[in-house]
Amino acid sequence: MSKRVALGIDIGSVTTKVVFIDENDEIVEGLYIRTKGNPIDTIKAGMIEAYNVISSKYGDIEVIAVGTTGSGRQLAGVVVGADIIKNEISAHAYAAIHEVPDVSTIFEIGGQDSKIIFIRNGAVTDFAMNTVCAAGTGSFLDHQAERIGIGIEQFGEYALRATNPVRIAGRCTVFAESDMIHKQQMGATPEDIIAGLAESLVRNYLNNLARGKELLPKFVFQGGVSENIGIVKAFENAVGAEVIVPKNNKLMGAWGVAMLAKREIEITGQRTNFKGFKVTELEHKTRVFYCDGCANNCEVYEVIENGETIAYWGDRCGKWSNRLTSKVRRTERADRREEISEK
Amino acid sequence: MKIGIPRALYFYVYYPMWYGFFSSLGHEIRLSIPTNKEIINLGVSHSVDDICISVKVFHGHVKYLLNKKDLDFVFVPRIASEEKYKYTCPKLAALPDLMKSAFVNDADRILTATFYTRQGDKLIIDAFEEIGRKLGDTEERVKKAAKVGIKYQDLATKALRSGHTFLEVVKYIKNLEELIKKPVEKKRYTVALAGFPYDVYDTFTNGDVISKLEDSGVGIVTTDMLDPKVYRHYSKYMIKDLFWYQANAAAKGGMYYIDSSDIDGIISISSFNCGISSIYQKLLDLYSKEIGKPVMHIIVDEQTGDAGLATRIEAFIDLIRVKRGDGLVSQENNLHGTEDGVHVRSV
Repeated sequence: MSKRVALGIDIGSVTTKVVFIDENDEIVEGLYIRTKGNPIDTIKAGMIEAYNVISSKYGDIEVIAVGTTGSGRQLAGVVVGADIIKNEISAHAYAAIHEVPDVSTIFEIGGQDSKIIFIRNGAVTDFAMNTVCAAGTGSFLDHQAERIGIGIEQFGEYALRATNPVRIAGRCTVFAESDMIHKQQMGATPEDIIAGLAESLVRNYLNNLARGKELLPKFVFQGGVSENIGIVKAFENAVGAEVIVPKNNKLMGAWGVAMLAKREIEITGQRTNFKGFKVTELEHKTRVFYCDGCANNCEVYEVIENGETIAYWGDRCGKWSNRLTSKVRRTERADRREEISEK
Repeated sequence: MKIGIPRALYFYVYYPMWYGFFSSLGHEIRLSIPTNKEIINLGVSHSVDDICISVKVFHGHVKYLLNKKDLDFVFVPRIASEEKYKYTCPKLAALPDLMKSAFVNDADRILTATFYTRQGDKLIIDAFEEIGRKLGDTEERVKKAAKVGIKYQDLATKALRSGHTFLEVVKYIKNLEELIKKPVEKKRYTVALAGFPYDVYDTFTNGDVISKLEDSGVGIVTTDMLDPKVYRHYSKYMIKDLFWYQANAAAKGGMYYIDSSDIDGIISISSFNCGISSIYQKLLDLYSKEIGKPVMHIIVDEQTGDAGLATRIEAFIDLIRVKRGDGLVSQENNLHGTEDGVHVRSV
């Protein structure tokens, strides 16, 4: 019998996460890849890579459910045929609660956005997301590590070695950078600057997102930046309690949405929409055009699969996106289900 | 005569009154088109830098109408006060002056009068008489028209109180009685929108929060649907009232909804750079913390990308779903991601 797995894909701004989970919700294979401009190719590459690993381990596999999340969730959802397209806040929270059931506060910092999620009794009660400013996210750290001339992987140990962290303005990336240069010229060691940067990042994060809201333990810290032991330490100092970094810290969003997709299929009892691994061989193109129907000039995105348009979005009035929905909706979905079961 | 009415700011409160007045005098009313990118660009390029987006948008609507050379006047009333001892924000009270200085060459085509509302009909009739003199209508006809205007406003208020949004009032302006009788569809979830009517109802500037919610099966109510009597007692919580009627409506109306058991959550909508909004948002935060009902703030600005907004609204809906015990999955209607305005064709 082939191994039954659920697939979760989290397309972030900087990295894409692909996981396969088994019947017990455990991750059988998880990949963390840089998105590098073309999310569709990244997803396909990730799926092939993960498929090869699992099939060599378990032989045949059967995908029973697929979920997508992250800022590219819609694109990924149409390309692979998702059963559930879920926002990243719910997906991250779901995985964190699964891992640490009595969690109260989740810190999540990714490549370009950061969020804080408040949980009480296993349910999200409040959340906040950074809006326009990317100060203090992964991209910023990457950039600064490069500027100081150390690898981002070493960032954590440098921070831990610091004896006197210098104070750095964390409000804004531009100011933080000029502040760091200034402190360097004054003679501060790279260790102290990096530790100072970690502290300012955490301070900025808590000021911008937590905004005086009650921070209760247990704390869970996830997302790419949670790899960084220096930032974890800075969080622990700021909240005065242990901050848990879960075992799949970088894959939480994809893991969460894979579990949600599995529940979805269990509840509805339907077959998955997954198009199969053959999607990696299909040709996908995207196209952006400005609609000239009215003065809004919406940027409309079109996804084309083997020469056929499968999705539109971005139009405010629905002129384009409704073209497909009117045909699709539930009837066509139902028809397709019958087709599959007849086969 | 042909009179242009900008579809912004107090249009979303007093349009019925203006419609009733001008149309019963036999003047032709022309509304500016709903806010779009062109209007925002017009507004931003003709306004001073440090005002809120809502007033900038208003500039755009006025400019749009002034560009229509066949219009005799563009109506820019000065709403000075909406309740005794309560005054409007300085930018709104100075609106006709702002417009005249922004569009100097067309200053004499701006029709204005100073309104004091909710303080007896006399003050309103006075304001309409000021307009009537400029339009050259007889005093007797103006008085009659003013009363028609007030009647329209009362009908619109009735429609709002029965749960219809102001957008519906605009649509049904010729037939408000029919709207009042129309039943409001009850949905499984209800979210209250707290904020100034011009922020809540300007669907372009706020990323169409109302449709985003309604498309996901969430019904909405707004703070302008409430009779101020029902939330009067929240002054005690605030220690003292705010100085602006609309800010009080947003703050106290929001608190009223926080206390209402049939409301699942509150979303406040305000415009970037609005000082007064920051006060009522904080009040809602503090109150919701005591009662334990979810509150989310949406602050709108000139940017039109709404990916972040869609994510937040989706997550907010998830939050109220879970609170109701409905779980995160099997959102039948959302299976195809309509929350985000994305539609998928199965292949």
